[in-house]
Amino acid sequence: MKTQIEEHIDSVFRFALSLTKNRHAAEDLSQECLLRAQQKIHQLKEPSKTKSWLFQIVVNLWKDHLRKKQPNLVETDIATLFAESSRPDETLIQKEEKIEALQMMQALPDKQRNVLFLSVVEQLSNQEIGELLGMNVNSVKASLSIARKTMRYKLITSKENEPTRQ
Amino acid sequence: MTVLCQQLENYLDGSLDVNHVSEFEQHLETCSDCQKVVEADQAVSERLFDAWTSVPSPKSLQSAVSARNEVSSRNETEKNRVTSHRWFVPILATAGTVLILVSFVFLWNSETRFGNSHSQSKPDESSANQLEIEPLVTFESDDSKSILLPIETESSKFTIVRAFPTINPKPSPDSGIQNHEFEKLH
Repeated sequence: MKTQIEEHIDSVFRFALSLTKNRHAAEDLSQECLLRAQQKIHQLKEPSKTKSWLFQIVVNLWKDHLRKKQPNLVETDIATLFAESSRPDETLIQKEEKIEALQMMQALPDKQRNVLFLSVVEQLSNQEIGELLGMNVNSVKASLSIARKTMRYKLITSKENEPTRQ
Repeated sequence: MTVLCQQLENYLDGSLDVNHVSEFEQHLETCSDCQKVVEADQAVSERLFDAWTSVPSPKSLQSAVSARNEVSSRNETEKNRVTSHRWFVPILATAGTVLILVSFVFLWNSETRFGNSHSQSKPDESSANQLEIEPLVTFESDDSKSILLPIETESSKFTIVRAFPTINPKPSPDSGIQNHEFEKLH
């Protein structure tokens, strides 16, 4: 049976990946986060907010890391992330579409990317995102709005280019 | 573009007031521009959600967490096992304390009893003088001094002859009684 922390391993790793854009850094950050979470699990007052609590640990660890040294991380090629996952029901085109969507998102500025990730993928409210990233709600809404517009534009453009690409 | 079209972004990020959502959705049925944006936004959201949730966490990360959980649960079990035996400690401590107290009281009582018996067994000088037996006869010669002491027991009567040799013993044929001799008289 999975513990309440183990249930969120994937989410923690993805959020760490969104923050760092580097697979190995994300893995280290996730490891550190999960270790710290296991040690401080007694501090978790509301089990329903485990995911937000874990994300907060990830953010704090990442801030600590940035304060100590400016990371010179090379962006991980998104395609390599899917090397381990080979879903039999997934066609090559579907896989490429996913990779393309993630690559577009990777190109967004840090703040917009993280806000969009937390809103669309992790379904957090603007209030929760603001608390997590240390932003006020209006700032979250503004970043989210720009990120959505950019992604819409990119995806529409890429769809329009699809026939020529194929 | 109408006034309601300006609410589009609020509608998309879910920050539109609940009372205005139904009003905007009615507008959405008639506004093709807003419809296109909403559909495109939903497509973006679905695609991103699908893409991100397909990203697996590394197996090494999962196994490390599981291993750590196993270790911590084993430690927890061990801790509980040790803790479950802790009730034994205060009982042992209490028993030990009681044992020490009982031993102390016992020793103190014994000491008192023996102390009294010692003092009883050691007569004082006055009682010794009172119990001193009068010799029946005393013989004195050049080399020794002998006395006859009467001793009475329940079964018989004895007289002990005690002889005290002098420093330079000289056998005397007139003394009548030899040195260091016990003689039963009765």
